Amino acid sequence: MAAPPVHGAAHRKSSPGDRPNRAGGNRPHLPLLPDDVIHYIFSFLPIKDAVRTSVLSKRWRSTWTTTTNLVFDGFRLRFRDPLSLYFPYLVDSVLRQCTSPTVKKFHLTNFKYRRRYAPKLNLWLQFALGRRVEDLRLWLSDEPWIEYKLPPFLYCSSWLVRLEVNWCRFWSNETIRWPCLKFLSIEDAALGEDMLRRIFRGSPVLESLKLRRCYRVRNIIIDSTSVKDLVLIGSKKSHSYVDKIWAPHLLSLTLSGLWTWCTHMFRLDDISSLVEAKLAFSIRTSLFDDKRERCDWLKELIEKLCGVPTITIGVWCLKVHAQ
Amino acid sequence: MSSSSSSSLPPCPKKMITLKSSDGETFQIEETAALQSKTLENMIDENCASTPIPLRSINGKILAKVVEFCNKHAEVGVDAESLHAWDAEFVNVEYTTLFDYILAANFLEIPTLLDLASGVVGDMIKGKTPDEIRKMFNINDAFSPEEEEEVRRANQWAFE
Repeated sequence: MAAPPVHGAAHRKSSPGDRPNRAGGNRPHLPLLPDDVIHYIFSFLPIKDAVRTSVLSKRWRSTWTTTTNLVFDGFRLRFRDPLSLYFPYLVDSVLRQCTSPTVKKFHLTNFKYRRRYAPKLNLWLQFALGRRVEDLRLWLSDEPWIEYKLPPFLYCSSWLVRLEVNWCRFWSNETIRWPCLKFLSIEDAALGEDMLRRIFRGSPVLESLKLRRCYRVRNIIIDSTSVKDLVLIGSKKSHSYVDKIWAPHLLSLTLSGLWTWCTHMFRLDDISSLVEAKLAFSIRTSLFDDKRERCDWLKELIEKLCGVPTITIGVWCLKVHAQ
Repeated sequence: MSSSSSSSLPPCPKKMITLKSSDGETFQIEETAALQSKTLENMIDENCASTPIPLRSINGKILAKVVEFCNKHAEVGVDAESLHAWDAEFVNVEYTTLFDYILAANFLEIPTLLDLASGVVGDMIKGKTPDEIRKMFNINDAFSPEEEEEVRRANQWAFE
């Protein structure tokens, strides 16, 4: 949504003469800004700061409740009273007070997820999706292998433009329908090829895909013509290898992170449209690995990229290539 | 404010529109740059931009900067990084000037400028106590201590 509409500028009654811009001790008058502008400024604040604006002045007591950006960060919110004031309680409390009919941004980061929170999390997502959220981020803190199973209604949203999730389980038989989704980032999740295919089919305008430490994705096959940008970040876990990347319409490819050497290292298949490639990864090896095999593999990878106009090569690849 | 980017284009006259500030200064701006403002776009669409457009709430000093901002953001071939640096420098001004940018961006409906300047004010508020914010921005319409206590209690966690 664009800027809120006008009418406010006439609010300022002072004459130009009493606002010397250079004055060191001259303080600006926040109350002179019109309400819609104040509302806009407050909407840039993380939720804790937004709520604190309720005591600033009588006029703004409930301004924060109409915020369209709900950004909850588990790290920044610490409490003295761990019994009554804990994160899920707090999110509940804020959402109860929130009166905005639409929510543009809903971010939940560093949330220590436990299985018992699943019903709550479902409700929060329902709240956000029901208010036409465009930018949804769900970063659960990395408690190993406790995954949150994404609720079925998430697979169908006409408003999502950005979706970022980690430690979530993609599992659904439902048809995926994300007609406006442009950016998708998935971390620490099992992703079958079938799920990936269904994501592409259901997201006709998806431009950018980032997969970080995802496993069970053997072949990354992108037949979608809209996806232009792929970022693949590896993991030291040996079962998270990718075999083949086939993406004839892709323009930009980034491979980074720490991978573990195995016999099926990724091969680039058809990447014929690529104009930019970044090889910033490193590979963890053991003494028993065959150095020559590694060099040959990297050589083949770089040869495959030889027609690409811009290639950036990271330190590890440079070192191995020089050997 | 140089515009040397279009030397390879056929020499077609650039469409200019004229803006007039509250203190009577006039500024010429290319129509393509002016289109970043929804308010000006509407006026152009309705053919109201053939005579100087009076902007009674924006003084010459601020209007000059707004025109500079629109020109910069309409330039072709500026990479995101250098534009970002330019923007950061643009809003590195006194608070009062920053507020004038916000008012001008709100009046002219220039989302990029409004986001930029509002974001800076937001950053200034972040992490500060209500007292510090009141002092910084001249907010005098405070609650009585009892009332304030009540408001705090509604969301105690935010004040700890």
